[in-house]
Amino acid sequence: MSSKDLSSEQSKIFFLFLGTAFLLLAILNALVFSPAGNAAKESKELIEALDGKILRGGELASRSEELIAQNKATSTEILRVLREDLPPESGRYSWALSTLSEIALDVDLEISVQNHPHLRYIPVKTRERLDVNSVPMWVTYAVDVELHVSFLELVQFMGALHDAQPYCSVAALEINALRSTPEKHSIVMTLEWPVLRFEEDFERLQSLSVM
Amino acid sequence: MTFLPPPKYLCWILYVMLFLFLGGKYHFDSSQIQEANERQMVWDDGAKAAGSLARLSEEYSRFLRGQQTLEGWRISRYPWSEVLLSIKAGLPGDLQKIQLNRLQFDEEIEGLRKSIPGERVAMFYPLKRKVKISLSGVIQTDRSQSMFQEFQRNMQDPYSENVSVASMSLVNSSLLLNKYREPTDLTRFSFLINLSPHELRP
Repeated sequence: MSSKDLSSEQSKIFFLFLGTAFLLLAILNALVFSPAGNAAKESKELIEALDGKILRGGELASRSEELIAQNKATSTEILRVLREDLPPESGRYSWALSTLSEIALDVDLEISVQNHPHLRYIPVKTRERLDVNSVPMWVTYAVDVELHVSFLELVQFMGALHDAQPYCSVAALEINALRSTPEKHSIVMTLEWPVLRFEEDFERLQSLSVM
Repeated sequence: MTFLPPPKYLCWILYVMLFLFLGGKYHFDSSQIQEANERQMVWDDGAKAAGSLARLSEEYSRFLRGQQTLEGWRISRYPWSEVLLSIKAGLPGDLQKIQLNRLQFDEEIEGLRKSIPGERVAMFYPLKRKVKISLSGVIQTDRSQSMFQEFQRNMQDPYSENVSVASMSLVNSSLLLNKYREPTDLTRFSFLINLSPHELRP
């Protein structure tokens, strides 16, 4: 049987079926397939974006052990210097006094040590919204040292200080000649050491060093 | 010759083909959505760990900089005993005829002393030590200007190789007068010496 042979009744049924099929298709498309297609398109974009993040996360995760080891090494080294060569968190003045007196004694000099009257850095005013990366990790602890010595004795003391205290800097110095003792001068110097600006850093360094 | 099936079968075939096509597309879309949901779950699980690793990484950068600064702090210090000896060695002529009244300096660590704690990350590295030395005294000579020039020349090539002078200038020099207001052979002078800056780098 060819299409030519279709009776008008059969043609009617055929086109009715065809029309119904397209109508059904249109309804299904509007209600199901089109939203599903849009969701699938969004999903594809999401997959691409997440794949990038997951890849970076994976790279970071593979570096985690290395990162922990590096953090441990760095914090251990900082803690070593803090404990061996820098003024402690508490009792800084007595530490500075005994350290400097010992050096002075070694070169047979008498010194007087006092806390420097002013901070040599700008302190934190408010902790609100403070970014620790807005300032260096270190600030300074300073003391003033007074001596009445000759020029060569001063040179000797400064050399001994430079060698014995590897992190001590001479921040200021004033030498004034004295009329009464031409050989001895009045000397005032400010010495400073780096110390942690934030106390929390010390605790964090301690916990990182044992990770 | 016939190619077409009977109309009612043709319709069913079309229906079936249509539904197969749409069903296939729907299945593909659904699996895409499912895959995205699975990825989201993977990311949600990993995001927390990645966040803490990112913080650890940031912390490492900060502490590493801190350690490098500390190392730089040590090796960037000026060797003051050598600076003082270089000044003494650079003084021209007979030292008995030079009286230094005052030597003074104040070191500034640029990037540290005036750094203001705030809400944003700041660029303060590399920290840099800068020193200005002021030196004043009296010299007994009738050719003070040439002596000053010699002192400046000597300081450009200092006694210690660890000392480097960036610039030096004679700020003031004046002849002293006796009680009859007559000039003497004494000249009061003051110099300003800038040492070369030292960066706090390891």
